[in-house]
Amino acid sequence: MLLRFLLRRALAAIPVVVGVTLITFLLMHSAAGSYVPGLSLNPNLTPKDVEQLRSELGLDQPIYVQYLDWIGVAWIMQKVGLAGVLVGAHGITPGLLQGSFGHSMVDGTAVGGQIFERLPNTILLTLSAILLGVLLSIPLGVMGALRRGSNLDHFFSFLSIAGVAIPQFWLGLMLILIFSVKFHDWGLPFLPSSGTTTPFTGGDLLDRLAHLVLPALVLSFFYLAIWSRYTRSSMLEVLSQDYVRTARAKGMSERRVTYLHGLRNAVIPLVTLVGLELPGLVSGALVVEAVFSWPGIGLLAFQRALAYDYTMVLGIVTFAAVLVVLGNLVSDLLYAAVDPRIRLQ
Amino acid sequence: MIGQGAAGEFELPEAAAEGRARRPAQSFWSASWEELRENRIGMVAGVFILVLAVIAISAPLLAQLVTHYQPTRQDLDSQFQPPDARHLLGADETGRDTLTRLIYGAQISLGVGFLAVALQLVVGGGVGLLAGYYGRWVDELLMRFVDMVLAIPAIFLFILMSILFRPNALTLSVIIASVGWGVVARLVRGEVLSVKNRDFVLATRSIGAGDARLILRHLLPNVLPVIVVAASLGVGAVILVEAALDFLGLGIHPPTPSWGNMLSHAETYYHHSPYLVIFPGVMIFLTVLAANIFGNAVRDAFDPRLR
Amino acid sequence: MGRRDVSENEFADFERFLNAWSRRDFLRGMGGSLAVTTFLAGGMELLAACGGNSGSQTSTQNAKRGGHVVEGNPTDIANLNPLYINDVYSQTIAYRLYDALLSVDNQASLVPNLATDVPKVSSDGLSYTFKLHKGVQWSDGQPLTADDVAFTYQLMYAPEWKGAKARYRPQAEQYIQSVTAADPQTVVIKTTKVFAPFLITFCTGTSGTGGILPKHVWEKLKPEAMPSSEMNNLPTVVSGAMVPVKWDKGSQYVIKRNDNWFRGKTYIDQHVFKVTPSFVANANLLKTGEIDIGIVDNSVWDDLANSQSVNRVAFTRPSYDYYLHNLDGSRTPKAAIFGDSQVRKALYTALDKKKIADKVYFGQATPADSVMSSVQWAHTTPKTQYPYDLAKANKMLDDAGWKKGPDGIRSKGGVKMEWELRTNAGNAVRETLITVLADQWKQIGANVATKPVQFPQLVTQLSQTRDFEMILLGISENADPDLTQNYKSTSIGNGALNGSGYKNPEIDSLLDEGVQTVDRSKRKDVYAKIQDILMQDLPTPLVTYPKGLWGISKRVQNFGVGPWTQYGARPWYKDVYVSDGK
Repeated sequence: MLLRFLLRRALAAIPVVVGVTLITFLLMHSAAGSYVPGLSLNPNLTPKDVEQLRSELGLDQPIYVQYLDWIGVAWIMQKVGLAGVLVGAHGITPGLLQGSFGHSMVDGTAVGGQIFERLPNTILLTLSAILLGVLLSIPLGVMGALRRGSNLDHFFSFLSIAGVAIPQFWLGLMLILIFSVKFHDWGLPFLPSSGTTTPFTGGDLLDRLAHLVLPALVLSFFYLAIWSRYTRSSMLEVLSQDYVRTARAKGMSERRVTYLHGLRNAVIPLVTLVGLELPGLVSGALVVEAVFSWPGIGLLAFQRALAYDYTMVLGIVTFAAVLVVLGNLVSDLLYAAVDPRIRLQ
Repeated sequence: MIGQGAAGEFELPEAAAEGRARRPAQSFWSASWEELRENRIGMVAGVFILVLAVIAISAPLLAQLVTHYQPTRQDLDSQFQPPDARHLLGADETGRDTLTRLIYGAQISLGVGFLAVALQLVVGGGVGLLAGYYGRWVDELLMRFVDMVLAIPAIFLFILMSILFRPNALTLSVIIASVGWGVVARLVRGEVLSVKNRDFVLATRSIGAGDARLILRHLLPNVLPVIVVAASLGVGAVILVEAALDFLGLGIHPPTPSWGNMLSHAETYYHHSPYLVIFPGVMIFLTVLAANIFGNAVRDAFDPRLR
Repeated sequence: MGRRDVSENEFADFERFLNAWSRRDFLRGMGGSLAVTTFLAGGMELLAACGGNSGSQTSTQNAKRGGHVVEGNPTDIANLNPLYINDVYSQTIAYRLYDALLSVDNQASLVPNLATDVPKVSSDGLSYTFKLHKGVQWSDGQPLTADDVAFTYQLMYAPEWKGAKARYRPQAEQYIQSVTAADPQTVVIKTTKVFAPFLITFCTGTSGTGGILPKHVWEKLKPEAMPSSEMNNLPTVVSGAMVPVKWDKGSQYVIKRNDNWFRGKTYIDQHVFKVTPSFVANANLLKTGEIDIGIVDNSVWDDLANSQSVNRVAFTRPSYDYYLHNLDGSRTPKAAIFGDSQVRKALYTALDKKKIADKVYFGQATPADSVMSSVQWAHTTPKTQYPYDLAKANKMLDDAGWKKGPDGIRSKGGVKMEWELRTNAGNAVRETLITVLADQWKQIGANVATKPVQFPQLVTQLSQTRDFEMILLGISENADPDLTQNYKSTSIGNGALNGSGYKNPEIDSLLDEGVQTVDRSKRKDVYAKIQDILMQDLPTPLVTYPKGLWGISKRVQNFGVGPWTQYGARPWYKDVYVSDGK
């Protein structure tokens, strides 16, 4: 049953991913026009050299050939002896179907290598933000529910609504201004504002945490706002359920009622909301990465897109799209696992 | 992270939908409208947006009569002036008046906000209607395409398209809409599917009504509430996205003022003159806040699923 | 107290004096800016005379061994191989790892490095003989000999290594006749013609190339494999003061002391190059101590003076910001506007360079007065100048037949005076500068649209496709005043810098004369003539000479950055130490 579901989803995902690569490919090439990347590394080139560079990068081929090349169809055709079918195909390298993202057009490094080197940084950031969001929204939501209608509750409500209205980059700048710049000016212990570690003297857990705090906080703000509201209403709903009233009637202490029945059942559905964020795990932190100079995937894609590094951008976007599809799948599974009323279709 | 529909889980304390007196039968729209009017905070937010829109439209007039500055007028001697009598909210790195630029910036933020959402609704709504109504292979095809668009992380799509198009308010709206329409399409399709099999549709079809007529005159009105709700919640998200794009350097370029690009330049100078960062940021915040509050109020009043 | 400490205190006192002035005037917002600039300009002379941090007076009396320094910069390295270096940041790191035959000091004079002396050119002007230090070793213990030197140069000019695509191949092929290892300690380089800038361009590393590569490692590679080799950024064998430790992409590059360095051991153990968000952020990071050294943005320079733990060093850099008119009618119709020399002069006259230097650069720049920076030894101030005069500029255009239309924009013969001015995106000063220029030109009836463009595209537009209308750029000069790349008619397109398409046979022959004359004073006359002509023709008017602004933590001693020793060439490097030994 589960296997069939997974299989069906996997099959449905393939045309989606292919479509993604196609769209991205066309966009990149339209945007770049006839520009040859990597020129800034060696501007002393005659037009003849530029043409040679273009040819070596394969940019003089018709678009469909370049695409087939990148996908890896050309590799297969070459193996089967049909290479000549593609106009001007030569020196064909393994493509996506063979598991290779190719090499950057700007500095020649392996795309896959760069992705996997920078990926952990982004994952660390987004997972920390999610964790922070969960850890903070549960107490906020519960307190709001337990003290419903109080000033505290209204204050939290306002914070939630405000929280989704703040521009991320602005929040980041403000936090840096306060916790990094002003704290230092006032002689207080301050937080670092860039990178993942302090060079040389850093690298230990405490140092890494210190660097992680501000960016993760900024990223988690949005989650916090939404999840705390959800937890609150979920908690309220659970607390008014029959079985809770029964537990109270049976003489269970208020505290036990809250924590044993209320909390557990209110929080579990939060899992589905967390699941909704999984697809955006890889790409969602771009703005924060830019503000804090966090060496992640988003920042890499941004910088390379501006440099028209076709292969790098294609590699990152494809990778991210696959993760989105996977993330959606996991999110659906979580949803089904949590709510037995949903049947996997 | 770019809002793909996760922003809609709010309840405002005053808008709880329990225990209202039931009135005698009233049309859906007038009942909803009345409910909206009862929501004080929501109405205040709505009025805020309205006032802002009026200000934006009459920007040239205001610049002439109230602030006495053109948004692009430079005056290097007034560089970085803090707020004072001459420049009510101060001046930026080339001496341009911040207040005037904020007023003109509203044109961009609100303009792109509304236009992008409108485009999203038209395209997304259209696709959703068609997919839901015709079903089968049309549905499969359209929804696969929606899946593709939604699988590309929005921010990457924005970056690529911004490089492709010369960014002005119009193209920016198109770019932002080109990602959001997918969510609307899914939403509308879902609604259509649930409405499609109701009696009145089957009845109308049995008397020989054509497809177009059925879609436009019968399905659309029933799907409209969901569309309205999506619209109201989308404006805030679009304004944030537009500001972020400007900030990254991918959107509107100076000297045309937009709240986002005022922040990107202010970032360089914020150690020097922090208020350059505060004012545009506050404007974005307040506008998105108002849009969200009003959007929530609309949703509370109009969402048929909450009845 | 050593002499060094005294001058440091003077320095610090003078800085505080300057700051008091600049802040007061700033707050008043009055024309005290003039006074400030005068003070700053005078102050720089004074500091230079004091020796400040010029590096010629390093004291290692109290030098502690050990510790590290962190240098911050907003970009990651691109390529550390001297064959391919194209940016100053990579150059900075590369020349800690590699040594060139020679180097330069803060007066742009040649100093010996791997070579024992700066060679005198032979009487025919074509031959340079270098004697290498004895006992120089590579980091793997192999001896560094003349063979390595010959090999490195052959990579640049010899036909069998063409596939390696060295960045300076066109110039190397043009000027290098042969490089021979007469004996393990002697190298003879013969040039094809007399070329005065030869040593500076090819043997010091200040242009990027010149660092010597280990033959026994690199000869094993096929030429085509070199550009993408991992050893470009993580070299396995080097000969310089430091060796590479690790490269965390996008984050930091770490190097550590090379105990085999022929000059001895550096005091510091490690040097970390950290990627920071921006030059503005650098000021912050300097204050918090997250970095020890870094270039600082103009806008936060004054504020940095408040820090108790950071020293500031400012000097006029060998660089300038300038704009190019596209004079090539086959590339843009706007050449019709710029082709009129009255227009070019009027545009330049309409610029208030003084105000620009004060406001856009926060006072950390001086108005330009020639076509090369004021730090070049060949710099002169030509008689033809263009002081700011709005009325005069308007009149010039009126007289030239450019009439103002009802919308205030001038036109002549159906051609409207409007164009697009581009600069590189991401540079706040330049982006502000183009809006200011556009505004100042609006005052004389020109309608200028501004557009920031990504740097790689801009470079392509300038040096290959030349499809721009007007570009604003900055140039970092070589230690040699040769202007061939910028103004010779053969430097149009093909990756050279004469993007405007300027053609002047007189300039061409003067440029040739300049590089073929070896005697410095005779060369100076040639370049004086060149500057005179170019100031009359104005193909590429210069706007300002920006200052180099460095923040250095007080715990770092002897970090003697100066106009010519900011990046690759750092002859004072071996004396750098940290006072806390950490």
